[in-house]
Amino acid sequence: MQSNEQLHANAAREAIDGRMPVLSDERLYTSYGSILWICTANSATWAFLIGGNLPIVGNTVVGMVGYLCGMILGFVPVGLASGLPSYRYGIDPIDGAKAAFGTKGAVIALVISLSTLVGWAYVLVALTARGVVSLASAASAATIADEPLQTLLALFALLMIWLITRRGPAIFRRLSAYVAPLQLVVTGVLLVILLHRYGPTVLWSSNIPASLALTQSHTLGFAYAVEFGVSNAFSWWPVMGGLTRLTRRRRHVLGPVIVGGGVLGAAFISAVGALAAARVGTTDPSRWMLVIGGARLGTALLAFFLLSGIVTMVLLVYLAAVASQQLRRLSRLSWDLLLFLILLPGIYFAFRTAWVLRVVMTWLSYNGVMFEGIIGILLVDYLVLRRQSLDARHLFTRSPAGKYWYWGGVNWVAVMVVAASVPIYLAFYNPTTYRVAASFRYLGAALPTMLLAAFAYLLLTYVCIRPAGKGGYLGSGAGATSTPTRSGASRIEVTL
Amino acid sequence: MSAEDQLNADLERRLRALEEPPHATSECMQRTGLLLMEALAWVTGAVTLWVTAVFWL
Repeated sequence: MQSNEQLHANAAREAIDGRMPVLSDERLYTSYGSILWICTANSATWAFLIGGNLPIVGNTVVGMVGYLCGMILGFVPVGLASGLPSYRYGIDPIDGAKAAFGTKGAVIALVISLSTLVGWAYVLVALTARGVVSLASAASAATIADEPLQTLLALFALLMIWLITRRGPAIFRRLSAYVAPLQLVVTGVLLVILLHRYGPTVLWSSNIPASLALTQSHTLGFAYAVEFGVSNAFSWWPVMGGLTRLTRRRRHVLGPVIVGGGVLGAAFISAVGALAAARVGTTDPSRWMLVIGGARLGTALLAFFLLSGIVTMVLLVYLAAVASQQLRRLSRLSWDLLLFLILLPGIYFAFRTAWVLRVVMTWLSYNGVMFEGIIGILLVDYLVLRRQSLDARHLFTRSPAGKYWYWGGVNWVAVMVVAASVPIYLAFYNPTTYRVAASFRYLGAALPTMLLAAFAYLLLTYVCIRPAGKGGYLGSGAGATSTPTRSGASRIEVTL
Repeated sequence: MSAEDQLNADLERRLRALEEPPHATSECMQRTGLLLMEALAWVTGAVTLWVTAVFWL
């Protein structure tokens, strides 16, 4: 027979691996460092790839500083909209989104969230497999048959992800604590080599040819770099809440996430990548790293960065598995089987790594444009309209008596605002053609779109939702059908 | 009790625990004024950097 302690430990484990609220004394991330290193490792995986493209804004230094600004400006609203409610109630960000989108309407956020998490995980698997093959080809004189080896490596990466993720978030907290500091040290070594080889003056003025740049205007170039940063930070929306629901201290909700995910993991590593790419003349890290580091050191550094991407893949798949339990049938499966099902399409993609990089990445860039509307709505809903107070019980009910039922379980006003935010964003800036509106050079696109969505939702809530008595907003009559109990909680049936 | 009923009963217990100590008295449920100030400080710093960089770079 199990003791009380064992039962509590098992229940906590089930909550952490599932959608149940995680209570304050069960939270895994108790120190500044644990959050810092997870966020650093998650950002660093992409940083050299993004950094290699920053010189495209016309001036490399403008690109580096603008990207830093964009990461900070993007992380703050994501932290407040997604991180704060998840931290307070220990809930998954999709459950948090139900307050604004409705208990059924949150499926929109779920689809965007799942496709982003799983899509980027598959992209990373493909990138790692192709990177290792490039490395092997460069290291040996012999010709290597690319496709079969890439498939084999991708399958091996999927197996590793499954083996690590099934052990829960504690394991990647430990992995991040080793990997992230090493990533920073390796980046520091690369910076020292760059400075030693080219000198600070030459390095500081390294730019790509004007004919290859998007613009020669520093103001517009800066706005492009800010946009890259904000868009990257906004794609953290499903990640942020997933991390803060496991965070114990309030002071760790924003600071370590911005410092780790924005400043160290993204801006610093991207800056070194940008300088190296501009100097060597290629955006591909697997090429410039070999040029700068030489055959031996360059190969070792590249191999380390490719392998360290496994931490990010594990984090993405873990968060996708938790979010996917919103689907009733999936919430009844064992954790191991659920992870297997999420990784199953990856076996097909392992045979088509080139297609994944070409098609999935283009699709993901358009998928990401919906985050602006979602974040704007959640920000104003949680901070302004609800004054940081949710009724957690009503997030877990599928009853019309629930506060967040709106119209048939869907808040159509929020859905319309998200839909309208997509063409507005694309009018400001098209992420595939880089075409921009006149106002883009001063404001960018993601931030004004988010603010417009927030303002539109605020206005429509006062005009449509509250007068209709929907949404359980302060002063509206929603939720009156549920019976209050002695503790003030409604006697409403809750279900996963 | 079926597995589904067991899960829902566990959820019920957890939702109740959110309203009681130790969670209700933990940092999670306390005021977030300092956090909002921190957010404002980050935004102010980034905007200042943006404006400064456009004039000086």
